This record gives sequence, structure tokens and C-alpha cells, in this order.
Amino acid sequence: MHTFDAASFEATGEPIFCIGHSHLSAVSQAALATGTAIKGINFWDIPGAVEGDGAQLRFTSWIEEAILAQNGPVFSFVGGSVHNVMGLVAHPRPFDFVLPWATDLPIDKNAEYLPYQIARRLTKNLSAQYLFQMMRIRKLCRGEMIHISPPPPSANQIRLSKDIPWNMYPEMTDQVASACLRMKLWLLQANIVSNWCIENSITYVPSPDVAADGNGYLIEEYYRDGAHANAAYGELVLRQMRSHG
Amino acid sequence: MNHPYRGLPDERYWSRSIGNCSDDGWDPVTNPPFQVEADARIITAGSCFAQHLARYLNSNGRTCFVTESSHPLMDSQLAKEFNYGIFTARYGNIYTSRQLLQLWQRANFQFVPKDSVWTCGEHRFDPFRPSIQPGGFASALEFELDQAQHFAAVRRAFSQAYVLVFTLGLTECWASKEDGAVYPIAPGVLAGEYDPNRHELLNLSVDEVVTDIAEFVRNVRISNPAFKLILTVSPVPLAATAEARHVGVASCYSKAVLRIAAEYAAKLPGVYYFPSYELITAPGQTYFAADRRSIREEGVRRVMSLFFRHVLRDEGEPREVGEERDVFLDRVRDVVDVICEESLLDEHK
Repeated sequence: MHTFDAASFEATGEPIFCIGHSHLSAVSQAALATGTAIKGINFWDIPGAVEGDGAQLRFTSWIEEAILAQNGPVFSFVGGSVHNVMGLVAHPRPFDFVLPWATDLPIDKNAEYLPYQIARRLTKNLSAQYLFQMMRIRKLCRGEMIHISPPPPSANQIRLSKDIPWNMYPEMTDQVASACLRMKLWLLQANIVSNWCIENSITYVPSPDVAADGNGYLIEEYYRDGAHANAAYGELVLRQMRSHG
Repeated sequence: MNHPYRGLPDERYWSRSIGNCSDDGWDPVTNPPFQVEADARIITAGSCFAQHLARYLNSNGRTCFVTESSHPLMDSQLAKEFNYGIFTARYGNIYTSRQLLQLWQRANFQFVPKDSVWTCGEHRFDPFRPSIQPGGFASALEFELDQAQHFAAVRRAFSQAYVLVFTLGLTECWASKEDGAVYPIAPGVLAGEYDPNRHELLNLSVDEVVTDIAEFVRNVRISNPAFKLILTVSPVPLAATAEARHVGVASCYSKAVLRIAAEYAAKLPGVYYFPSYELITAPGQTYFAADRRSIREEGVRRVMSLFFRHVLRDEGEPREVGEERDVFLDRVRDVVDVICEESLLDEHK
């Protein structure tokens, strides 16, 4: 079992229990830096952590037991990458769409417009596996479940471009998608997941306001790589978690 | 004794060409004035029956010229639900000659209907393709952008096509009293609101249908002089009539008007009538389903088989082809996964 047990774990008692994917790493790093007791289960680091799919989805037994053993809140960092899967790298057939609640966001005039309902369905389809994972955690945890939003997207195209392993898809594309598309997809993902959380009695914690610039993009000092925020961002999230925990 | 019928080929006699033949043993297609080459751009439009042609062309590996295709991110089910790939562009069913003419005029800004959008709460519906996407358009901006994209696709389709196969479906249609804009379906049925003070029923005459088609062809040929048109008449009876008479009588009248109009329109250069209507109706109820309206697949296959044989050059029988899948999401998911794994490596330093 891979856990992120901070040095002060014994001294402070019950660690903060976190489970999910790679966005957890910013918080884990922040916990290490600040001496915060945290127990993190990062699926990326545990081959075979998730078994089956859909309603039959289960976690490997020791993970299920770990969730069941929690008295306090369980913080979910599940998923959070759908906006990057759809909007980090420019599709060979560039697309854009209009968010009905944010029609003031710029439109890419060179892109093909997809109906919003289609963008929503695609995002929802890609989110489905993560929502099933969250549903399983919800069923297992005895206390409160709190879902942490992934960080907002970066608008720094140059920096993103340097972090993308372009050699992974030769002859396909070499462009970062427009920042605005990424923002719309991130907002759409947040809308889908937060509404799903409300329906399933899960507290949804949006990303910290102070981490975003005036247009909602991740401030440079919190940037880590093409898909993640850094430990400084993790500290902001830790503060949110303490206030909710 | 000599007479004008002596020595005529068998196809001129009902008894020899239909009466003594099996349902699929007769062939009324004679002398198409042109054939469609393998690489020619074919576009389709019309009533429900017209949808079959695109389906069969695609299943034969000879795709229709599609100018408003689904984005590769969509799977075939989602694309179909949002009416991509049904016709060349996402214009939905075009039941009447007037609707076809006005589509071209609207796409070229020659006609801007006053009744241009229907509002239902935050949602917007296109009066001229009200069922094109489930629930309508999510915002006014989305409607405007989509319509501009759609019109561009329509212009490209008709301007670059070699041939349009257009199936005439109806003569009855509802129109705006303000400017004559014709709707595909009565306001209020799928969206919008019916207002007898603003909307009226038209029942197009032979002259009107012929004039619409002639004007449409003339307009398209301004940008596409080689443009050709294949007309068919849908054998599907009217689902309902707004005229004060039996739907069976109204249906027979409507089909008769369309059939005669097609005959006259086919006298125009580069316009041909393909007898799918006769192929389905002449054998009686053979090709009709139990509702006496829907066409059974055998009938569609029979029509398409003769269309392929006579109209398309060097074509065999229709066959099935598989669906292609976009690998973009898989690739990018791999990329994001790599970044995620790299973040773990970074964490373990």
C-alpha cells in the first residue's frame, strides 16, 4: 500500500484521508512540506486498485477496508482530467462550443462549433468511470464525503507545450488547444461533477479563488505541469480541507 | 392488322412486364440521361424516404458528399441522435419543393424569414429544422453560430455537388403569412406556437412545384453550372392532412401532383426522374408494412438495387461497411496519463 504519511502522523492522531487520482499529489506534497498528517491513496500508483466497471465497480479489498475504517471525512480527488483529455491537445479537427451560462467567453472562429449538448454528453461519458468510482467510495464511507475540484486550467500555452510528450502521437497534432476551450471544458466538468455530488450527498469543494487570475485561469506560481498544480496550490487546498474537515 | 401497339417491347405492356412478374422481377428504369461516376459527389435531400439513399450509399462504401459531418469525437449513436450523417448537411427532412428552394435562398442570404427563431425558455429552436437536435439549442449564441455553420455547409454542398438526389414528399405545408417562409412541419407540433393569424396552410400545385424546382436548379447553377438533379417521389402516404377531406384522398392527390410535377421538371436539362414511387406502389401492398404506410426494407432494397444498377456507374449490389473510430481521445488520454505518472515520479524524488 502506498500512502503519504507525514512525519507528524503519530503526533497529530487521525490523518486526513484522501483518495483519488493524480491531483492528490499537490496536496500530498503540501502535507509533506507542512508536516500535515495525511493518508493518501492514489490510484495511479496502485495497479489493480479498481476492479470491474459500472455499477459492479469495486476497489481492491484493502482499499475498501481502508475506506470502511474511516470515521472522519473522506476527501475525494477522483478524476479531474477530463477537460485535459478533451482540451489539452488540439484535436486535428479543432472544435469549440458555447457554454450557455458563460456566453461571454471567447469563441474560436477557426474551430467547428459543437452543440453544447454534445460537448456535455462527451464530457459526461468520459467522466462516467470516475463517477462510478466516487459512487463506490460514497457507499463505503461512513462519514462525510468531500470531493475536491481539480485546479483550473493554465492559460500559458508555451509552458503547456513544453510539458506535453508530443512524440506520443506523431503525425496527429502538434498544437495545444485554445486556453478558452480548456476553460469551458473545465467549467463544464465542474458543473457535471458538482451537480452529481449534490444528487449523491457529497460536498463539492471548488478550487480556491485565490489560485485563479481574473479570467479564472490558474495563476503561474501554482503551475506544475501540463495537467497539475504544485505543492503551493496543494497548501491552499489543504486549508480548504481543514475548514471542511 | 397493324396498330400502334404492335411490336412494342414487353416493358410497354402491364401484363408482360408487371402482371406476370414476381415483385422484384420487373424493372421500369429506362434510359437515364446521365450516369454518376464512382468519384462523383452525390448529395441527398428530401423526405423520410430520402434517408435510405444515404444509408445505402454509405453501406456500399460509396459515401455521400457530406459537408456537415459529425465530429470524430462523437460515436455513431450520438451523431445519429443529433441528425448528423442523415443527409449531406444537417438540414433534416425537406418535404416540399418550396422548402428546398428557400433553404438555398436562406443559405445565400437571398431570403431572411421574419420568423427566424423559436424561443422556449433559454432554449432556441430553428423553425426550419425544429427537431435537428434534442432539446433545441442551449443559447441564442449557439443557435446563431450553428446556423451560420449550417448555411456554409449547405452552400458548399450544392455548389460542389455533381448531383442531388431529391425526394419530393408533400404538397401540403405550413407557411408564414408574413413572408411565405415554409416550415417543414406545422408550428406547435415539435416547437414554436401555432397562430392562425400568422400561419397558413399551402397545398402546392403542379405549377408551383415545377416552378420551385426550376428556380432552385437555376439558382444553384449560377455557382455550379454542371449541377444535376435526380428527382424521386416518396411512396410513403401522408401521415395526416390539414385539408378537410380523408387522408387517403389527400395523399393520393398530393402524390399525383408530385408525380406530374416531377415529370415536367425532368424535361429540364440535367434533371432526371427515377421511378422509386412506381417500384413501391405498383406491386400493391407487397412493400408496405402492416400500417399500410411504412415501407418495408425489401422495398427499399429493391429501389436501391435498381438505382445502383442504372444510375451509378460500375456499381455492384449494396453491401455493409464497418464504422471507423476516432483514436484522438485514447491518444490524449495516454498523454495525460503519462503526465500523471510523471507527476508521481516527481513526487517520489
